[in-house]
Amino acid sequence: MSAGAATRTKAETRFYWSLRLTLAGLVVELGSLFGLQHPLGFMAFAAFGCTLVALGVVLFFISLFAIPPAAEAPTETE
Amino acid sequence: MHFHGSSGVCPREDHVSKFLSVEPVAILVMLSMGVIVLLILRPTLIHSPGGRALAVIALFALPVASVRAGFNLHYESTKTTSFCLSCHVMEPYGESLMVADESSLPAAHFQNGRIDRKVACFTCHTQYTLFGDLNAKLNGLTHLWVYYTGQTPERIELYSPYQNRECLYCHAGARRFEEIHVADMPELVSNGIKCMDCHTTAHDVAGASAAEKWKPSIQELLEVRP
Repeated sequence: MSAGAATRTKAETRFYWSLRLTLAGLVVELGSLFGLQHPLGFMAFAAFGCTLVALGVVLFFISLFAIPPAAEAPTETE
Repeated sequence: MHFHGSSGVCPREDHVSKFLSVEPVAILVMLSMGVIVLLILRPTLIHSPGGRALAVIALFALPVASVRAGFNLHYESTKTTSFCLSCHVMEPYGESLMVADESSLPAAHFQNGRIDRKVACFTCHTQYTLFGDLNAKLNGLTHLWVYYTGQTPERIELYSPYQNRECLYCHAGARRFEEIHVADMPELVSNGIKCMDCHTTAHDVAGASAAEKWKPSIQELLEVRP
């Protein structure tokens, strides 16, 4: 039970980090739209925006598949 | 000069600037941000099946759609004349588009609207090959690196001699062009003779700043006039 809860906590931590990373990437993308006619806008979008969103999405999938069924079971029955 | 006789914008569809609107992309990004903020503020949502579906939307569907739309927008904007001229080293090339010299190829094309002004640089300086656009973009990334690391050479040169293919992409098939060049067409197609052998004045960057210019500013042409 305690091992399952610990795993779930770790997965949740990853999930919340994925939220923050994706949000940061989207903020960069939104900012880059204001510099659309300038190379720095493109650089910011490609180098930071896309990277942060990609990391966030990957971390989200890791958090999804890292949760063992046993760890989810208590949540479902509660 | 013969090439002044042709008129009208090149009819090829991929020469026409595709201006995607910023607003829908911004709205999509803000929507994605809103759903993520909701999940951050209401973490208990994730424990319900509906919340998990919302998480998939917030952390996969919407961000991927936002990045895809943002990429399209940025990709199209990198083709614009304004984008090219935003680098300081390109300013003399921009000025050379406005010189009042009918023999200047870039000026004649730009001022007479033979190319879409909003994507003027890209229209003539991409290669009309299978990977021409991709190569142009990869070269562009190199240019950014060179520019921001202060390694810009004093004299900017093309990577390879200008190919007739780029001229013929628009001019081939145009009545006036083919009537004038009928005798030379086989050699023009095979690069036996170069367009630039006769039409020699490309960007006169050295004399552009002192030369007489066409009256409207380049900003006016790019922003106000179609």
